[in-house]
Amino acid sequence: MTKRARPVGEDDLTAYVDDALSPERRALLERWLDDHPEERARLERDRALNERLRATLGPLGDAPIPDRLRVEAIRRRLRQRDFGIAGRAAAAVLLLAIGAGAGWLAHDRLAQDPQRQEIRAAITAHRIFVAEKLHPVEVTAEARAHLGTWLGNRLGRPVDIPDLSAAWLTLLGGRLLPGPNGPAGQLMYETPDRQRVTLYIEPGSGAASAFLFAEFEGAPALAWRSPQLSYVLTGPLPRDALIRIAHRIHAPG
Amino acid sequence: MTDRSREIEACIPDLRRYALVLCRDRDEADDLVQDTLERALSRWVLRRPGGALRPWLFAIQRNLFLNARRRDARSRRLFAPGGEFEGEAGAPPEAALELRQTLEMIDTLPETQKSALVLVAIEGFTYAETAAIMGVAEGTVMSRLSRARAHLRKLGDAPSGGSRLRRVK
Repeated sequence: MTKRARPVGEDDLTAYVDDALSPERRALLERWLDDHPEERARLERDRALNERLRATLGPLGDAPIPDRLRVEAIRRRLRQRDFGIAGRAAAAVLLLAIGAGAGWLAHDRLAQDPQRQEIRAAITAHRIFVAEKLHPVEVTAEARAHLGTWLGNRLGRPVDIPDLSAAWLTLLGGRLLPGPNGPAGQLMYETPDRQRVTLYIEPGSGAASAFLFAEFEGAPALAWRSPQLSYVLTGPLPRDALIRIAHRIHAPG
Repeated sequence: MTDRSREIEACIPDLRRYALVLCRDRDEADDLVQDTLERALSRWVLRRPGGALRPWLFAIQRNLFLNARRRDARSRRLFAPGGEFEGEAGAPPEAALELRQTLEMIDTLPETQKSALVLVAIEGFTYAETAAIMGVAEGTVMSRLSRARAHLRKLGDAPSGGSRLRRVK
């Protein structure tokens, strides 16, 4: 059987315009275009458009870079900001040692601690639902107001859905979960590079607490309590980022 | 200056150009680039090891733009087509006119097609890189390009509204 080249397709025509064809494929297409003058005219127009875009918009990058966009300036600002937040948060941070060998899953006394149960429930829910492709959330972000009212009714206290867009997090939605002590909620957010972060909420016990870091099988979590609600924030972010988001939740705007 | 800073800084002119095409306003565009750089520097550790820097920066910038646009869609006029940017001060009037017409022309495309066209035709990304930046399959990038070009061809052929946009040689 003789080997025959694949027939010419729209993908070849597109790649011809962008000079993305292999030399062999390009030669084949040139021969084909000899018999198809209308297609050739069309592709010449498309190539002329590419030229026009490059000639007209290309120079937009030539303007001198303003000082504020210099990498050194950006670094300086980031350092100042991180120092401010880390300074405030450092005193309030405890580290919760969790690991396969640290008794996390063992049914010891510590495992009965309510906050640890919450963290475990939150991380488990995080791992189940961030991996979910079809139904990551039960109520989507479009129904944000409804989501807040609904979770508030089920948790028996007002639930504000935090707007974390200033921390580069987009709300995907949320769901109701069975928590260790009754109904719980999970809100899911996404970073610009599509990593998912969840905020687990349960009714609080009336007392506020410090930040508690936990990490279990590669899922870092930050837990804390306000008088109204108990929170666990889980996501593949550095600690300072989790703290920054936590501050954002309590200081909107 | 570290190698990393140098590598990032080399991408800034391209990021500013893409931001300007997205935002159509110099200050908005530079705010977007600034957010992109802050994000990139503070999330450097989350970078895929060995991944190319320039497509990564473009992906962050586009996602930040889309998030901001979604957020601002209702409350502000920002990012509405037909922003104020009409060329750098001091550019010759013909060049400014050509620039404005070109920007207006590609603004008639949906963002998905506009970005595909700009990333491939101006920024010189391969189809695979563009697909990674936009989070879609390579075939999707190619069909977006094809649709964008068909639309712009039709625009050039239109007798009334489109004629204003036709290239004057």
